[in-house]
Amino acid sequence: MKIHVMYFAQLKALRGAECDTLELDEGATVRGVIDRLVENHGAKMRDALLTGEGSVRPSILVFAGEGQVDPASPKALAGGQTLTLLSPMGGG
Amino acid sequence: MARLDATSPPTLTDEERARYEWQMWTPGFGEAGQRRLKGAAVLVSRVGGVGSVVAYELAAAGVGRLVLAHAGNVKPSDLNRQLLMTHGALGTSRVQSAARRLAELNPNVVLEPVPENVADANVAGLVSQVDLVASCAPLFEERLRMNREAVRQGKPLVDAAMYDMTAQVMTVLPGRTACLACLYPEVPPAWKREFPVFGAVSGTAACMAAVEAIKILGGVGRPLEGRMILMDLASMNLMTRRVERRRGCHVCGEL
Repeated sequence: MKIHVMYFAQLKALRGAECDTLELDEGATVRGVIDRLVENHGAKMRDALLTGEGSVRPSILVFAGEGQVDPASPKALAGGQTLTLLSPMGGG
Repeated sequence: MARLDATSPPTLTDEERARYEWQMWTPGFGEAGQRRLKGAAVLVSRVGGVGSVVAYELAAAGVGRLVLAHAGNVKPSDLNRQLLMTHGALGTSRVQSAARRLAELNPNVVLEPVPENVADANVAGLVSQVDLVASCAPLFEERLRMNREAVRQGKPLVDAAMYDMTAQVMTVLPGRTACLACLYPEVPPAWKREFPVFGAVSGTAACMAAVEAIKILGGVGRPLEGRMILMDLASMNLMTRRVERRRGCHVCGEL
C-alpha cells in the first residue's frame, strides 16, 4: 500500500524534500514508516527520529491524516493515508 | 482570567473609536470587543522575529498593555526579521527600541519594557501581570517555562515557532487543550539557538499568533482549540492538525 509522508522543520531539511510516497506492506504501522525512513535516509535521519535506545524521540510529532497519533501505536495505517512528521521548531 | 471576565472594560475615547473603526466593523467584535482589548494585557517574550510582529499587531489592534521581555542589545543579524529594531538602534536595548517603535504606532498602549529574558526568577511575576502570554522565544527552555506558568495561573498562551520556511502556531487553553509540555515533555536535544529564517516567515507565524490573541481577548472568532496550524511557506501548503493532551503531563495532567 502507499503511504504519503510530509516533512516539517529540520526533517524536511534532512530529507531534502517536502514529501514522499512510500510503498509498504498491508498492516504497516507508524513505526514501520519511521523505520523505512531511517533505512532509506541514513544516520542523520535516524538521529533526528530515534533516541539512542531506538525509540521515537518524544519531540517528534506524528499526525495520521489530521489527528495526532502515538508513534508506538500498533494500529495499522490505511492505504493512501498521509503521515505528517514534525520535528521541533523554536521562535526568535 | 479575571480581567477577561470583567463586566465593565474601559470605555473608548473618540480618538480610539476613529483609530479602531475598521476593525470594529468586524461582525461579532464591535465596540464591546474593542473595549475588551483595551482592558487586556499581554506578555510578549521575546520581541524578536516573532515577538516583534506579534507586539506590533497587538499594539495596532489596541491591546491596552504590553509587557515586552527581552534581554540584550540590537545586533545586525536581528534586522532581517526583528521588525521593531532599527538600524539606528544597533548596540542599544532591544526592548527600548521595540517600545519606541510601538509608542510611535499607538501612544494609547501602555508599554512595559523588561530588559530580561523570561527565567525561573521572573516568570511568575511577569505572567501574573497579564491576561495572555505570547510565547515567541527561540529556546525551548523559555517556552516551556512560560507554558508551565501560564498553565499554573490558568492563562491562555499562544505559541509560534518556525524553522527555515516552515512554521507552526498553537494555542494553549489550560485544562482544555494540549499544553506545550504535552507535545514536548522535555527540551528537544537537537534544537539549536540559530536557524535559517526569513523575516517574512517568522512574521507570517507572528500575524497568526496575534490573530489568536485578538480572538481570545476580544471574544471573537474561534481560537485554535486543540489544533495546530502547520505551514510550509516554500510551497504555500497550510494545514491544521489536531493535537492531543498527554495523559500524565507533568504540567497540565492534573487539570
